Amino acid sequence: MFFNSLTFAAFLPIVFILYWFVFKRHLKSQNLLVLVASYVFYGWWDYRFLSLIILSTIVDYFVGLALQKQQDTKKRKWLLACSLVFNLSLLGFFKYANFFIESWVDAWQMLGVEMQSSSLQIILPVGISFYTFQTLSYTIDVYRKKMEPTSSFVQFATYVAFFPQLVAGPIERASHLLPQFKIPRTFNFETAKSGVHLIIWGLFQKVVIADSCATYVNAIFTNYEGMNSLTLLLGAVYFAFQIYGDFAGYSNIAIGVARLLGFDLMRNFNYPYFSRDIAEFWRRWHISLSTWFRDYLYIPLGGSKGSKTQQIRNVFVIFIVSGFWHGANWTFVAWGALNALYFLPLLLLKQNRNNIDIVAGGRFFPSIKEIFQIGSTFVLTCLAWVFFRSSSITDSLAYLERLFTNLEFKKQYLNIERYSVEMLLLIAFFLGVEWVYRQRETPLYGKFDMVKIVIVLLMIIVFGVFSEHQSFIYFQF
Amino acid sequence: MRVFILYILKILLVLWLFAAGLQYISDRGLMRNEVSTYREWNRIVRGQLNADILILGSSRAYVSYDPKILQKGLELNAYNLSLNAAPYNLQKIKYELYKQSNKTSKMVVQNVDLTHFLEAQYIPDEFQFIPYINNAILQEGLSVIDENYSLYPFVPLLKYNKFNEYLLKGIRSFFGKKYSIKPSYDGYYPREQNFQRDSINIERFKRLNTDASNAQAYMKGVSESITFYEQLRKDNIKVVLIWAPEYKERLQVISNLKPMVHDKLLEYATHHDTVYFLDFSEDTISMNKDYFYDSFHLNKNGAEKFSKKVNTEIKKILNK
Repeated sequence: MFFNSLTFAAFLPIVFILYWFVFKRHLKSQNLLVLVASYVFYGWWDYRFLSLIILSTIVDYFVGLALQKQQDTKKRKWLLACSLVFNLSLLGFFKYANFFIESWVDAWQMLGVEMQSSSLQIILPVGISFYTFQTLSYTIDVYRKKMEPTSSFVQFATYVAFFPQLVAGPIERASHLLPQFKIPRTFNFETAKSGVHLIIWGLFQKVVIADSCATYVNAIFTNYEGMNSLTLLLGAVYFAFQIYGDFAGYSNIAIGVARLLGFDLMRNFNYPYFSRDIAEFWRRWHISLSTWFRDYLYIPLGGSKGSKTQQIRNVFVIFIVSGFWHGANWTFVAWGALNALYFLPLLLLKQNRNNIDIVAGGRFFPSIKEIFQIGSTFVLTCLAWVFFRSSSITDSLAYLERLFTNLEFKKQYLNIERYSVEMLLLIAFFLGVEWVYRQRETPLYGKFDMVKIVIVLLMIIVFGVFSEHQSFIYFQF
Repeated sequence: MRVFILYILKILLVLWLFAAGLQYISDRGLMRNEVSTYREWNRIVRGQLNADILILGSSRAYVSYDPKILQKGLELNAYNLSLNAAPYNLQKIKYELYKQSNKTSKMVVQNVDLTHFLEAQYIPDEFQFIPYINNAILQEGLSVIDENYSLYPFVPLLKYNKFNEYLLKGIRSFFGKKYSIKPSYDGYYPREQNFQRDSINIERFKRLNTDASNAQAYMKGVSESITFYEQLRKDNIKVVLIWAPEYKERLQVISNLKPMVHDKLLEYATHHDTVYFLDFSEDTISMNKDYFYDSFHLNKNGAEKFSKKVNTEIKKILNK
């Protein structure tokens, strides 16, 4: 079930009414309702893969309980290993099996040995990377004794399958979300109102910005050989906004829906395109994944401590693994590696925490220096996005080569309904709103919110892409 | 909770009022534009056409039948009600709309060809329907082809989603700005162009013609069209089916499937005294590419020559 579908528009009010009016007084029933709703939500896409979620839930639920009872360090390690092996095998099989088979065959072919490639017919279950990481965080935190395991299976299952963030995050930590299933939720008008604002803004990001950009991006990246420098430049910029609008849009809708049910989810995006350097960008982009890798991979590896070699190794490991998490393709690995290269000088020169405050704090307009910093960070990000979007490394390199060598800047006809000027104006409006609200988590919230909400809704109706149903990019990760 | 529900209702109400208001302004603005395709639609819905002879068809009729020639020759009021790129089921919707507010015609000239009988899978030139979508006939008819049309009456402004520029044009037009969008003469859009080979269409028709499964689709169209002609007959309207000239190259391409459709129409016309079938497909016009702008469409020269021939034939029918 997609957030931007009529089915979800009917599903959410039904859940909301049952949740607050029918099961209001019974915490257990409320949790059970959320669990059933979550399974319906996921099963709507493909009910067969519910078994994977349920299996993962059962394994980690019992591992959690066993970890609590077990005091022997060796046995605790074994239990943790069981959970890691199970979850990562699941992820490895469904997401990476074909990639490894094909890479193995390619490697032998490069050495001159002919091998027949036989890819497996595997469907990637939606959201597997998200819920796997969520269950892993639970087991690791229980192992580290950072939290007590839950004895309630329903609470744990609801935490794993919580429908607002099940398929594309934010990747919640058990220590943050799980306790919320244990306490009764009370309806709060301001929280629910901010949730509605986030849902509407998220929908705008998705159907107006991301999906409009997608029509251009698809046309440009598919036929990049025939495009000139201007079009290729626009292609990269449009993709930057497509991926941001798509993913941040999903996250905002998820957080908004959770707030309607009285839950608080972590923030996943913090206006990343106003970052002044790559380190700041990574503190503002896909925060739930970045902090997950920081806590469960980067810090255990030594983080920014240790020798220069160790620091460099750690940076590359975290960025490459992060890239690989996004998909089984060398393009994602290259995207991760390129970001590591961007980040490394900042770390080695100890400049990576230069920009931790809000940009242009206390002022409306940024300084010339800030404009330059934001612009250069955006350019670097766009170059990296070319790898993320292309279907192969060869395509990415050819795209970039043509971008920098063609040097023609005439407007090209792309046979797309929406005019390029209109698209750029929409992006300018979007950036304008984000700039004004860059100090707040919820855009549109505050004075004259009714007028702002209505304007955004009108824009969704008039400019939203409904002709082709566009699924969210991050569903595939 | 009550405050929250009221808040949501307030948003919906304000949104609806804003959207409906904007839509009203834009619709009125577009309808006000008398130098455009909307002039024709206005005249249809306001019952200002009242043609004695009504020409129905797709783009071929649109560029081939000059009502002025028919009006002069027959001393009757003629109007070309064709709809560009529209097969029989869409043409019927436009006719129903016409029928709702205009007097019943004496004669309907229906242009036919193979594509006419292939059911519409999409709505062509959708922008022309925008201000009139709330009309029950259009709404019902177009919803069958595109289900989004069933939402348009309930979600104001949604119909402008694919045509943002028309929203702006409508609003500006409402406040006095004039736009010129394809003016026509009584529904006739002559093309002053020389012949250009339409290779893509020829290739497409080659494929359609060789695929036997298309025969069924064409015959379904013929059968549904005959039901429509029967309705016309019930209203005492003479039905003249005309297969307008197609360039010889095209005729060769459709030679497999054409006889089947042709014979069925001929048989139908033979058995009904107020139905006539005039086949100009292999007329001398078809042999000369100076009369065409592509293999399927007559240019202005061809249209004039053809309209004169049609005029002569219709005169004979009227004198019967």
